[in-house]
Amino acid sequence: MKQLPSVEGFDSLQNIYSEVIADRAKDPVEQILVLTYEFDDQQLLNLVSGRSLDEDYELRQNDLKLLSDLRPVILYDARKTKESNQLPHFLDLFPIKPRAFCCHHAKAYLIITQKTVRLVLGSMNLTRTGLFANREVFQDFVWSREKRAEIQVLSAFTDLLRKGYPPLTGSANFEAVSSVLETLDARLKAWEPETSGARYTLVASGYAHQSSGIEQLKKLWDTVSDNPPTRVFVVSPFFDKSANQDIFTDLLNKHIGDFPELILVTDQANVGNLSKKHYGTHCTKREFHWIVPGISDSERVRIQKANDGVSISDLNIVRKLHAKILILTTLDRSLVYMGSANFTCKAWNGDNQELGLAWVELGDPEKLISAIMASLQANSEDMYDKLPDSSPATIKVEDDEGYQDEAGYPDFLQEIILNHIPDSESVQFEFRGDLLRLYEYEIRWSTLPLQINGGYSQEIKAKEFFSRLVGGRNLAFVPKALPERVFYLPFRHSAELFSQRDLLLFPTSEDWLNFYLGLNAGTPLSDGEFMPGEGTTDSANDTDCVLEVDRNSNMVIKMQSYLNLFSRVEKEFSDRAKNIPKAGNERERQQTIQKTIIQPLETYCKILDRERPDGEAAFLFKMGELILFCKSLAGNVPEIQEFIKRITDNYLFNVENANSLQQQYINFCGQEV
Amino acid sequence: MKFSEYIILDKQGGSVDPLGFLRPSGVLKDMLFKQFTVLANHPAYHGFLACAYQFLSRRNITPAQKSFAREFRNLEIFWGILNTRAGQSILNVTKYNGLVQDNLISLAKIRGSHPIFYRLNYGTLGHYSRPSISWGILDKEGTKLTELGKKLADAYEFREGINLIKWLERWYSKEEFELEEILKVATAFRLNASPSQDEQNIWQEIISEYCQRNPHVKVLWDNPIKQDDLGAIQADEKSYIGFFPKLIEKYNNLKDKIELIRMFESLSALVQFVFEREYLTCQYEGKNSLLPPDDLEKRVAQSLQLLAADYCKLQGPDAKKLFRTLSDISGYAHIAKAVMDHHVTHQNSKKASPFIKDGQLLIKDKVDKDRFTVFWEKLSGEVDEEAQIALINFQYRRDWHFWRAILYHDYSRGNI
Repeated sequence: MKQLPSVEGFDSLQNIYSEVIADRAKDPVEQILVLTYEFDDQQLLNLVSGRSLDEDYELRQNDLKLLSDLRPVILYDARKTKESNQLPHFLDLFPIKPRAFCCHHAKAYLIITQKTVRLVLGSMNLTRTGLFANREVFQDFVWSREKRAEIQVLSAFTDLLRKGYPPLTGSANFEAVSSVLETLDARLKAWEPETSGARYTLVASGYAHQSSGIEQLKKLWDTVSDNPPTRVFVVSPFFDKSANQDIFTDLLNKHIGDFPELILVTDQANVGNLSKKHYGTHCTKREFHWIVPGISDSERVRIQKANDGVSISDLNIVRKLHAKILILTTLDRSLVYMGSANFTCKAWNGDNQELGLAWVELGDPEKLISAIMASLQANSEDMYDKLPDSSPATIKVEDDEGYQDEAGYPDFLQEIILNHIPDSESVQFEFRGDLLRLYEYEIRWSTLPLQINGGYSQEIKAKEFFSRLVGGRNLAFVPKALPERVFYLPFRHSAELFSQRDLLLFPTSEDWLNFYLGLNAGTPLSDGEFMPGEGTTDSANDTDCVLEVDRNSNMVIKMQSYLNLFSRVEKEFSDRAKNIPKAGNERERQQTIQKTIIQPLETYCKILDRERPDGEAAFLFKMGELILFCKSLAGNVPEIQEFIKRITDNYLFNVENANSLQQQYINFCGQEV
Repeated sequence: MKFSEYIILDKQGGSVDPLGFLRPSGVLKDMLFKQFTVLANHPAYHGFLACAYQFLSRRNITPAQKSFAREFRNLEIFWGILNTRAGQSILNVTKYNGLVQDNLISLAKIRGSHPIFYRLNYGTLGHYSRPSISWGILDKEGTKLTELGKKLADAYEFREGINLIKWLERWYSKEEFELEEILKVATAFRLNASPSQDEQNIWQEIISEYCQRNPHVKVLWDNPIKQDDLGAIQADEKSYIGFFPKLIEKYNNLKDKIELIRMFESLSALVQFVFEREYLTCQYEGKNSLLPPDDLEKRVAQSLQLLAADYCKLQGPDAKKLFRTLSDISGYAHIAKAVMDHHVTHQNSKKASPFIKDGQLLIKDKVDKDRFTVFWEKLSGEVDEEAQIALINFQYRRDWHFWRAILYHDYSRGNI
């Protein structure tokens, strides 16, 4: 089988994702799932909002509904929950709580569109430095009905999600992941694997259903050679903290045999963490290559070209090594691993959750190693002599893969759920775990202090929820004994609350109208951009104008403004009704009517009903207009009649104490429908 | 196995406007140079835009059709490739770089989902159609070329005996070219190539007609500020003190407008300073002292109140009544509260989360602490009151398009 070269050059998750966005009109994104050690809010926000990953995008209220429909899933290390964030609700954050000194270190980006599945595996976290600055390594796959090569990787990844994550997420509601799994199962079933040989093997370590990384590596090596490797080549930013205790080289020797040659590559700044002892006792030939700080002229030219030719002469470009590569070679072939695992015991012995890819590369290993060294700008000169004999007492560079919890961390909590209180407009937090210990903490949701009783918070009015639609994803825990410390824990939404999310995403009827007005607003424009023929100059400014309607103005102005907005929304729903196919699959037709017309309009009725205490007359007027409009839709969609009857009975005919004018209006609407 | 490329962030500059100053500053900019936006950086783009409009309208493709932007991009790719081939940095050059990897290029070889088709507004059409409307190259809706626009298209079409339209026709009909074959065209039509005499003449006519429609700004084009002079008065905070006086001296008929702009710039700079300081103090409370001395607080508060009062008397464009509010209150604490409240109102009105609300940090890292710290150290080293305010003004100065005006003026005279 002809092999592609292993080193394919330079790329970025940003580029890969740009292609997805470019094609989204024809091939919309359906689901996103990310495994990461940590994330930056902005990059996560950009990813799930379909923005370029490097933007400084501010989430708008209209994005919330689209995001909640997409329901992205992020699985990350619990202790990397950050103090304040700009993330919205209905984005599933699953904090993984590993044992002490271990971490959830796997990195994967799964993007499912209507026609494709993309998976990017590698060393980068969903952070600014991980995506844009560090020296990282990765491999990306795209599968579709037509492209099925290496689909065993997707199959193994699906298996990992199904078996590996439920034990790690405790009793957390796994509904969102299950939904991703359902999609993957359906695609895998439909896309038969190609008969030609598969190259890549997924190497996942630290999951209950799988053996450790080193054991999997051993099995793979057995397919390459019966003898130990002749050489081991390693790229890693981190090493075992003390070479005086267990070191990964010994673990390799134990499982794969004694190898004579070991080459290590890392940043010059990491030299303090590495010593000659990290080479173990069996290697006779030892090399060490470092990557100097700063960038070479040739790399500077390449970076400039890759960045739209923007001037970079004034930029102080700093690139830290974060790639992890391990290569075991014979004279004519190599077993290559790249992924999340550092050159440490706990990365490979099953302590951490790690994820990577392995494959066998035929040909002279020297060429492969040279290509990797060149790509990383590693110095060709051997610097082994510069290494200390043994590890220093203190580690200079922060290790990203293990730590001890700070005292006071509320690890006794299994999960926190935000519930909707039935038949009310309120929500309430539910805590699960060792509830008695909750009293050791002051707990607040943004600025709102929570009073806990029997594992439940006080009832929280919907308006408190509305004020935290963006930026209220965590609860702050301040230990009463250590008031200077704050720990942040995310919560999840109950299934019932999730099913009613539309009611919470639109605080007012005007917000609901604005959402449906904004759906066809075209491409969002940056400041100064203008597209002839698209009618708008700046989406942000337009939104501004719409929202500047004075809600406290007199009734006539309010109703005029309302009618103006409502008439524009009517067009959106009239178009939807016209576009519903008249013939074909009846079940699909009914589903489309429900999803695109009845459900949104029903939500709207509920929002109007919620606003009813603010003014019965306004409610009557808006509901009457809605019912009359629905009647006009029935021409194209006769199935809507039952819905019209229901809302007329529930909302219009149950008005008590209507004055004569209001009664006339009710009668008029009743006669019309 | 791929290695990650370094991505430079904020290539287009900050897009976030936490205090809502974009709109009032836009109104003020339009008083002098309505025909520019922050994205219009080179007159040659207008020439290509006019050519592309002409080319497409002959095929009955107009902005009224949904496919217009896509068809425009199909043409622009060829122009982009020409520029990339000639070593010019042009909008989307990264994507063009990818397209010139093969020796043979053809529109047919570019797949429909290629990233060059992502964000059709990021390019000549999105960035230059609005300025072209203001210049009088496109009609008011941007749907078709004006007579002037047609003249520009005709003039831009020919350079050094090469007819660009003919090349565009071949490209559009999906003919295949060797890169070597287009080198001569690329040299003639690259961004920094000299415009033909005809094109220069048309540009002079465009400027002249613009000034006839807007006679009050004629002086800006009859007597443009010199590049060296502009560089000198914007070199540092000390020289920048002379920037607006120099403009007023040179363009006395625009004195009121320039004065309004000066006041707005100073006001928005002081407000921005207060905002950033309050924000960082909130984020790093207890960890890092970012508190300037009390006398600076007083000075900033006094300057803000007086300036706001004067500005409001002249009825300068406001940002959701912020300046009106500031003109009525005194004391740094009250002013800071008003600024932060205004931020919340502004963010809420665009349905985005405030960064900070009621003293509670909601979104962190929205202000560059390192940049502010460097600035703050410089500010602390200054003892003179006026010099401190001048430093704040200089730190948060705005682009009022004078550099663009020099470039366009010089282009119209072939000084490229």
